[in-house]
Amino acid sequence: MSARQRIIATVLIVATAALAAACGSTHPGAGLAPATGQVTTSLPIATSLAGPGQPGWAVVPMGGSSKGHDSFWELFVRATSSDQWKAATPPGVASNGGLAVAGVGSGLVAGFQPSQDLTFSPLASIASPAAAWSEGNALVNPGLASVPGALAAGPDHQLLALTRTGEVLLSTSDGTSWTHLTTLQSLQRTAAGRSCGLTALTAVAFGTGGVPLVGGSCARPGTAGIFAAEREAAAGVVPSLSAGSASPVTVLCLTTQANRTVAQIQLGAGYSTRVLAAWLPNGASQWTVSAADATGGGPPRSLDIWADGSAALVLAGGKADTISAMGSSWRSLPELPAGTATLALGPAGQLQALVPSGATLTVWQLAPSGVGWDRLQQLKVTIPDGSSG
Amino acid sequence: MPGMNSGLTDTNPTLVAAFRAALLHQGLIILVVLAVLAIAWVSLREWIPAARNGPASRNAVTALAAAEPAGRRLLRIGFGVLWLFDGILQAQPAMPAGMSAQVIEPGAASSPGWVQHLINWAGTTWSFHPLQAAPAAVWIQLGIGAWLIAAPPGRGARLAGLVSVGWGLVVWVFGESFGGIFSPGLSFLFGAPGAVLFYCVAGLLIALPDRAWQTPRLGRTVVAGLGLFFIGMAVLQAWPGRGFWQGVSHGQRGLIADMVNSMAAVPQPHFLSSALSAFESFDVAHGFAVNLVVVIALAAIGAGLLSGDARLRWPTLGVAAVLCLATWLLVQDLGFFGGVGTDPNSMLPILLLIAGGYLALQRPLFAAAESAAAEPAAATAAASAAATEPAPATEPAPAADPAPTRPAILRPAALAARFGSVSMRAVLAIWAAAIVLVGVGPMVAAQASSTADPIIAQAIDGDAAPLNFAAPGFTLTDQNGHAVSLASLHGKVVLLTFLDPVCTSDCPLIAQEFRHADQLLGASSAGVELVAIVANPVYRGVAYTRAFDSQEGMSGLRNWLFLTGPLPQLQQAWKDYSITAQTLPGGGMIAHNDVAYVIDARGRTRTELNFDPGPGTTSSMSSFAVELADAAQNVMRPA
Repeated sequence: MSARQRIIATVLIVATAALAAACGSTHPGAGLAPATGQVTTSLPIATSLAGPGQPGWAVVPMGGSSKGHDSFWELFVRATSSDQWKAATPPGVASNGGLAVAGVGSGLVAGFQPSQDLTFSPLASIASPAAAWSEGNALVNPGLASVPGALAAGPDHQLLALTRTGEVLLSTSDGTSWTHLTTLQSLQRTAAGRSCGLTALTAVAFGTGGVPLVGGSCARPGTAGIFAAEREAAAGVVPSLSAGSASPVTVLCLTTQANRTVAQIQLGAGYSTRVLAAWLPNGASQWTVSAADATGGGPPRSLDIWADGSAALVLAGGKADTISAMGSSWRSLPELPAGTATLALGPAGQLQALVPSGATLTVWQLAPSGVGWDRLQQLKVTIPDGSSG
Repeated sequence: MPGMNSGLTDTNPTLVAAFRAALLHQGLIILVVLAVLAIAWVSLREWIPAARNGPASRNAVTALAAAEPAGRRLLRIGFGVLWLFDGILQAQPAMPAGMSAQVIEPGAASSPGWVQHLINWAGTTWSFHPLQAAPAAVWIQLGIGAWLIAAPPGRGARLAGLVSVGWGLVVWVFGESFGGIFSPGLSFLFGAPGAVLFYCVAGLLIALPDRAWQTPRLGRTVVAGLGLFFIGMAVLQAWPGRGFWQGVSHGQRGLIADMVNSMAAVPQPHFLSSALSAFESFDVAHGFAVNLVVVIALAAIGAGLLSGDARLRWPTLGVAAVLCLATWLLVQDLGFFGGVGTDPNSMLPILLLIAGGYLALQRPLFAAAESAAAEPAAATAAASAAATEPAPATEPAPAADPAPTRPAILRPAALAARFGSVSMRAVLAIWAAAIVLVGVGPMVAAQASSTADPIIAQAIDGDAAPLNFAAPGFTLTDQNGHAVSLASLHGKVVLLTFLDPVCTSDCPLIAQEFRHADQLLGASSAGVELVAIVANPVYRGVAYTRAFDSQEGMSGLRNWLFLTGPLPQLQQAWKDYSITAQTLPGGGMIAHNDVAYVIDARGRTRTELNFDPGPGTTSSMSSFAVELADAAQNVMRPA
């Protein structure tokens, strides 16, 4: 090989190596942040249902790693006049995928969100904390969406379900048969859906008039996506909810409490994420919207809307905020006990923090002084490790 | 990656025992082949005395061997030894179950999707037929190694070189995922562009015709090519942002330290792991300096090789030897430790190629070669004079050239004479080629089969238990609401199992295995009924069995029944068939044993199979389906 040939060959080799290096470059430890405007339809699903004079229900993840299917979503219940919690997870199905719950009087309907090879959602119902679970033939197929507001209970054994395929289904028979109401694609084609830039459905609820409602995530700022789901043509019957200038706008949860439809709505993403609460009293023509509450980065860890219309958020870094009534302001709570999964209300409306650690649940109650937290209860739960692998 | 990991432990006793038995069995065949060849060769040499002094007589071959270029000889023997070593490594007990999980799968994991797809296609052969593929790899590599070493110079050695290229490419593509060139983190230190690619280069050089080795031009080309390779590796190593310049970055180890750390963690002699740990610590603290040294060394070696300056030969070789040996020890951990090592990685092959290239620069002993080629008769005569037996009196020694006409060669007598005239080395080379064929045959047969061997299922759950008693009856409700009794199924073979309709893992897999078994039965499936009984005391309604059927695609099977009923009836069926269905607390699914029964057309239970699907990979599922279908076929055969 002549010197000239060697030089040419060397240049070609160097160029090839450079191309290989550039194409194969990695940045160890670098992760990809979601692009602006991208919305995940999988929301935190630790939650609680409670209120003064009512039993309390809480859903909390416990156990080990979700990667090895050793994380189980556990349901806890507190009797109406008791401040002690006990485990009440419905038996018979693995709860690795999550539990969506909907209050029915003193009882509850629970739906198992799909995990691994199970693609539909068995349902179970319980009339009261002291009763036994009944299953019958109730299920949602395709399975429930992985959001806390995927299941709603209305009057007369009505159930509303949001599936993981973006369908909204209505059952008038406790979940044994279902009617199709609407889909994400149908709502996207409506004027309201186009206007907000609807990208996903995230919550369902029965409104104050028993009207099935569905909440979603909108790519465009300004309006929260809350629609009537009865008929596609009826979308937009619900008054529009102005939601500031950030995007995306995501309905985190939707419920009807104390004759008001209550929503928690996330604005923006990443470090600029904020949450606001909104109320629509029965017969009202417009929403009452709270100030936006900064989450300190990312979505809240837990969402709670209680029977008296109050709401709470567990945020990153041991922080939590509550809002007590329509039109009031967010109030920061004292720093939460480490590892708090969700907040709940005690029998007299006292704030409680539920802290899971492995197979142990510790319940803390806000001190009467409002400054710190007192340990109230420690509960051992039998976690079926390795049973789902 | 489906099918790539049977989920069995590497040391599953069933697979290890079967692997050893297969090696022993095939080894005996190989010894028989050797015996046959040896007997034939000796007999023919006795029968045809002239064959002893033929053109391929021992002395002629010795002369030819002496004339073989040193570079080619080094490559032939060096890579022959490497192939032998690799073949021995392939015989590790963990290979059948571990090759996919620990070698193939990790190599492909960081590659683009099309590479993974290609690897998966070939890897399925291994995971479906571990006891054909694993021994095949042993014999192919041992055979190639022996062939390279034993083959006398000439067509035999060149053919061995070509075969090593072919098999090397198979290993490079499917075993090394193209040497990881499509994955991030490509580096000379980690074996780029794939150790076996150097085997292919060596094989190609060995396969070159003699005239290519007659001038130093080949050596210059090889050395220059290696020089360019090292320059390219230097650029790659020096490229910023790839993670090689930092010993630690954002609290995480850099790539070199991370690799050394993982190597140090594998089971090996303590002094080696200590050395690796020490180097890891050094790299963490001085990552920039370590990479700088590597880059400079690579560039210097490349420049030295590329320059063609004879004065730089020894320094270049020295630096290359130090860099390669240090890398081999401190980064590659000798290449073969840690469970399922298959080769000593790339450093030794690179050194051999460099040495071979430099040797090829020397002017070969062509005078001796020409003398040996032109005067085989003289060599033969000299050998005859030294031989203990007198040379034949009447027949002159045949000339080396010209060869007999082709039709004459093919006559049995001529073939026999020719075989009897070859050297012992040639006989060994023929035997080595036969070893390769002993490996290739089963590998081809494995690739042609689309179902997995039932031994995978047996390794997971043990053998089926033969039985013969009247199957306990039951009357339950199918997924369409109709009453079904076992008695109503008489006249058909019943494959019976117990499934939880809201199960998240095992039961869907078992349903698929039943469905696959039904497909394997083909026309015979008309005489088979697939029956599942609900094994969940809580979620047992028909709505759940129908939802399960829809989920698993069982609704379209005409011979599928998913039965349920009131809890007392279900509990009786569980008791009769030794099924336990335990409700677990805390959000667990129902715990029940996984069993399949084969009930013949007269209603007698004939086989019980443990049917825990294990990892549920493509290979294990296929294996269970084959096992079930075979069990059904056995029962359907007339007694």
